[in-house]
Amino acid sequence: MKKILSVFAYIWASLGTLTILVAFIGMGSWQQLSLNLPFMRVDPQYSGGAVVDSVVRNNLKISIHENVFPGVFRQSGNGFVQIDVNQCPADTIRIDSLLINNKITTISATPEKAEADGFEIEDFVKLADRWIIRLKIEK
Amino acid sequence: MNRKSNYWGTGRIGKSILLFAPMMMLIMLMLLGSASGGDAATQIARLITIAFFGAMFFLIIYTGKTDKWRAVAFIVSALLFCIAFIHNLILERGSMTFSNAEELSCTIPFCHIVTTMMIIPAAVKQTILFPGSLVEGFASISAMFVIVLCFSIVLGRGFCSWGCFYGGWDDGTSRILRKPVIKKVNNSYKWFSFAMLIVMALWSAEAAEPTYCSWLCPFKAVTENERIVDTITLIKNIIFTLTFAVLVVVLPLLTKKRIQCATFCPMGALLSLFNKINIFEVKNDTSKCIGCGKCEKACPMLAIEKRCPTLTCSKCGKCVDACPTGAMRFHIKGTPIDKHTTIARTLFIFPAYTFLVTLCGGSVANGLALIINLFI
Repeated sequence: MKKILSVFAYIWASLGTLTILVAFIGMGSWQQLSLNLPFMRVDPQYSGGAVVDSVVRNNLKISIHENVFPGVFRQSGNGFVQIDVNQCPADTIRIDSLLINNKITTISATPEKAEADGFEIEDFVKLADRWIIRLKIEK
Repeated sequence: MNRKSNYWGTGRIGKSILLFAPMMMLIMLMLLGSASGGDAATQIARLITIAFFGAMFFLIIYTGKTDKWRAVAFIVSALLFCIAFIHNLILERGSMTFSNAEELSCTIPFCHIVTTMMIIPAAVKQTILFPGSLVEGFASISAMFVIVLCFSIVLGRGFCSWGCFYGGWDDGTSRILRKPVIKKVNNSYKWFSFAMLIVMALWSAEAAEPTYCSWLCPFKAVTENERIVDTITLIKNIIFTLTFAVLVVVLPLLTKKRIQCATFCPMGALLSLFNKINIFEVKNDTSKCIGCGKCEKACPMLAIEKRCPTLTCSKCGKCVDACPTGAMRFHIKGTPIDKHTTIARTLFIFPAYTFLVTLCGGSVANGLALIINLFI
C-alpha cells in the first residue's frame, strides 16, 4: 500500500512542471475560461457598473451607467452615477435633458472641469478615447 | 566534493548536463517562443537572459547548492523586473504614478498580493474589488488569477522564493552582511503575517478598497504609487517609503531574515495554507539530524521550529544547503524520507525554476535591454 501511495506521489509531483508549462502556454485560453467564474467582474465602484442607457446628444454618444453605492457588507448611503462621453471632444460640451437618478439634468464640461445642474461632480477624468464624469448621488 | 554528492549528478559534469539539458530547452522555449524581433540590444539581452538562467540552473545541479544559485536568479529577477515594470509604466502613461484616470479606466496592473483582499468581496458580492483590466493589458486580473491558482497548488509557499518578483528584494538585502547585527529574531513573529491576512481581508471588505495596496504595501516604492495630489496621498507615499525602508531594507539587513516576507506579507500567509495541500515539502530526516540548529539559524522565513520546517516554509533550500549531515532535504509527501533524494529535489526544482523563468524571464530580458541601451 505504501509503495502504491509512493508511486502515486511521484507521478503527482512530476505533473508539476507540466502544469506550469500548460498554464503559461495556454494562458489565453485559461484567461477566457476564468472569465466564466461568477466573481470575475470588476466591482462597479471602479468600472462604473452596467450601462443602463445610451443617448446621442450633439453628435456625442453618451453612456449612462447604473446607480452605484459602494460597499461589500453594506452599501454606502453616498454613491455615484458614471457618465461616459464616448468620443474625445476637443472643446466644451453640453448635454441637455439627461435623466439621472430620476432627475433631469444638464451637464457641461470643458477639458478642465465638469458641471451638472443639481448634482455635485465626484470625479471627472479625460482619457484618450472618452471622458468619464461621475455625479454624486444619495440613497 | 562535500556530502551533497548524494544528489545524482552533483560534481559530475556529464550527469549534471543530463539534468540541465531539459531545463535549458524549457528556458529557450519560454524566452524565445513568445519573443519576436526587437533591436540589437533586445536580442543581446534575450541571449544573456537565457545564458544566465541556464547557468544558474546548471550550478544548482552541479554544486548541489539549491539556495545559493536560486537566490542569484531570484534577486536579479526582482531588480530587473522593477526596472522593466517602471519603464513599461512610463511608456504607457508617462509616469510610474497613477491617478484617477487609471483607476476609472481600470488599467492598474493586478498584483498577486491583491488576491488576499479580494477573497471576501468575491465571496460576498461576487466582484473583484480592484481597478484592473479583466483580460487586456499588462498583468490583467484573469492572467494573475490563473498564475496564482496554478502555482500555489504546484509550489505552495514555494511561490515566495521561486517566483515572487518582490521577494527578491528582501532576499537580497538579507544577504548583504556576512553576520546578523540583530542575532535573535523570535520565530513566532511569523504568525503576524496571518494576522495581517485576516485584518487586510476584513478591512478591505469593510472599506471597499484594497487597503494593503492603498496604505501599506512596501513595494509601491519600487513599482507604482499614487500621484501626490493632496495630504492623504502624501501620507500614503510616506508610508510606502517607510515600510520599504524598514521592512525590506533595514530589518532584513540587520537580521539576515526576510522580515517583510516572513512577518508582514498577507499573501505569504495565504500561500502558507497552500503548503498543506502541496505535494512538495522540506523535511528533516530525524535519523540523520545531529541537532546542531544550523537550519533554524539559516532559515530566512522564521519557519523552522525544533529543527522541523513549519507551515510557513517557502522551500528556498537554505536550510538544506546549511545542513551538515544532509538530514534536511526536499521531500515528496507520501514517499520514504530516506530514499530517492535526487528525484524529490529534481521534481521540485524543475517546476519551481520553470515558474521563475516564465514569470520573470521576459522582464529580466526587458530590464537588461534597457541597461544595454544605456551603453550602446
